[in-house]
Amino acid sequence: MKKRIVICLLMLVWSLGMQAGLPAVTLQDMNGKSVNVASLAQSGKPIVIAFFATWCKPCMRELKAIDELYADWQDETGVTVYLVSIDQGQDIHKVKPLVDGNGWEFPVLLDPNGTLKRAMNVQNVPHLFVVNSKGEIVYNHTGYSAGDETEIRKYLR
Amino acid sequence: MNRRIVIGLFSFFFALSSIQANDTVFVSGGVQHDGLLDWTPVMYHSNSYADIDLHWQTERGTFRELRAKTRLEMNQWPMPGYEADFAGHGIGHLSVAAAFTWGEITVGDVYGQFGSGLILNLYEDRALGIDGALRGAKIAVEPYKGIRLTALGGKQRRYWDCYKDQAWGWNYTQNAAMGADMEIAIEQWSERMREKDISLSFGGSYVSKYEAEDTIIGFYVDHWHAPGMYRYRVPRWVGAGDVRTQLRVKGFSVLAEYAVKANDPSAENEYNYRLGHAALLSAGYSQKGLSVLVQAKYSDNMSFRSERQRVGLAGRLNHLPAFAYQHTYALAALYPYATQYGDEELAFQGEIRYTAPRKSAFGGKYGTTIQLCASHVRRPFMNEQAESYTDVHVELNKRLSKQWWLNAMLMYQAYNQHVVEGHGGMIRSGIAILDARYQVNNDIGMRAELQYLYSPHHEGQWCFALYELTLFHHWTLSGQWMYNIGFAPDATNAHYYTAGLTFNYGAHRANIGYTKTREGFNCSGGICRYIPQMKGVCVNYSFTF
Repeated sequence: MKKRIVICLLMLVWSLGMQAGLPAVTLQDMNGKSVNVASLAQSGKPIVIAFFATWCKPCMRELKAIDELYADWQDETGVTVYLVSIDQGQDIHKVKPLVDGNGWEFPVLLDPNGTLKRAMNVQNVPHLFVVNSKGEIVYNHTGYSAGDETEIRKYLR
Repeated sequence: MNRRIVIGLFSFFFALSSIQANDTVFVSGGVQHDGLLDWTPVMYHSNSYADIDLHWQTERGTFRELRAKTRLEMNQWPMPGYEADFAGHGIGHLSVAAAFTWGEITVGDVYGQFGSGLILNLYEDRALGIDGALRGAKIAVEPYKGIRLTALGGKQRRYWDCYKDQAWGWNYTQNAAMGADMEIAIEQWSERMREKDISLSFGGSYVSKYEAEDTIIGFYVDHWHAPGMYRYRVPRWVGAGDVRTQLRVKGFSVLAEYAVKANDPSAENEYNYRLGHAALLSAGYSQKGLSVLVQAKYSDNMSFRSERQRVGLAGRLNHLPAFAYQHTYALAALYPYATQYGDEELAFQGEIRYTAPRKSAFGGKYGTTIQLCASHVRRPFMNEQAESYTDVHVELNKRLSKQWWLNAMLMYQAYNQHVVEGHGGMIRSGIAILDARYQVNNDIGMRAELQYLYSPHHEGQWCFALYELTLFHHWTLSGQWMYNIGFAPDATNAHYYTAGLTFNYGAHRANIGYTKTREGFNCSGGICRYIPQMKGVCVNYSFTF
């Protein structure tokens, strides 16, 4: 038994050095379809997970900035940017009008109870994760300042 | 309790020891610290959180992931404005979740939301000090394509109880809450519906709470003016139900939801025995570049808590976010609305958003977005006091050139201070906001805001200015100043200001500054808490890994 405990502790220490991936949390998209977040990273191409809320001004600035570069990013790296809305209650119904109204073509997941937000330890929005083609989280960033989007591009591979 | 936790942790580690080579094990987590150094008297207030998650991902049969989560909270001397029993420290969260292809089972502290949260929404909001987790279990399964079932139950967290015999600092109500929810997506059974881009879903949920009967005394005066008293007969079990349906046909979407709550005399509804009702209607249309949304909500006596004698932010089972736009511009958020749970409330909201495409007459070279939003909250009777809140605003967002971005907003707001804060009257105001961003080159960016508010009813005019300079993507220097212009009789001539430096490097964010902020309501997600005026050196740090 002691041996097992020692193995467990060694595993724990070893896992600290492991590159984090996406948790196997199931959310719904805007059409009510269930999506397992961990499976998004299995496409073999990089993905971006961007947490936002409809009321969050820095999020809007960030998403508009990404939208302007998105077509180029897709051509160069095949990246898909997934938006995760943390809006609660009736505000989840504002998400689709906001995304469509701005003309964005990002797929959107709804996280009204903060399940993915907690699983990925997001404290404030905007918060963005870049997952490389191997499914490893290689970059994460909180807040948005002008020009941050150029930093994201460096990790898309 | 401790023994059970040790057994639980041991079982988790035991499971980990059977890891195979192609499995993935990793640790993730986060650290958050918000502090304020105040010198009248000298005191360092701080809220600190450390989260650690251990993930084991595998593919064995239907099993996909085991996830253990723990959170250490150190809030002995919290930031100003929190409720008295928020102060405390210890392990605030402990849970183990097992994810399968058919669903997820969680044991420990669980959160959840049924439908739009009219009868159950257990969530965490650190900005407000809310943690509504149930210590118990939750199971969410998809037994058949298109059918989702969720059931949960436990005791609700209620801040801390460090000073009693609680080694880990937890404090939970002695009452139980439990519920179940079912959602059916019809389009999953019909290929024809999916081909035509039609979806139709039905859902229903039931939540029940148990609380032992306690002695609550009421007082009365009889016909002969003699005082007397009586004891309330309070129900031990209180149930609440919710039904909903949603139809989507291409760009159109309609949702209708209705919830009812059984007799639930509580401190918040002044021990009345009326049923509680809530109804929500939401209809929208959207296509690329254009969207329209109209929503209406009615709620009456929908305070649903795990403890009938509790008021304030803790111990709420449901959550009705304010039916109003949550503003983040300082002056637009000067008078924020919050749902009045115990009262009757009728609310409407609508918005139209249009993005003119690039290289069109209105869109210009880079496109232009314009949106018109309105919300109105009232009590369902007709007199001058019925209006609780109104907000109409129009916002224009445009990129002017390669280096310039502009956001402009005009807003009319009516805020019934008596309804929200219990004093004062109707405050009507007009607000204008200009927000411009200028990118000098790849390394230097700046942003400025100018805001003006005029109200003939309360404190006259306000002005606000903000400037942010971002250097080399990592450093941000910012300063903001808010001033109550002193022409009105009740003007305060007060200045409020904040200046700070933020360092942002990947997942690290550190900020230090000096702040003097106004007393008022801090609102997040439609719930507000009162913050006293504060002054001092503020320090913030957050890191996610």
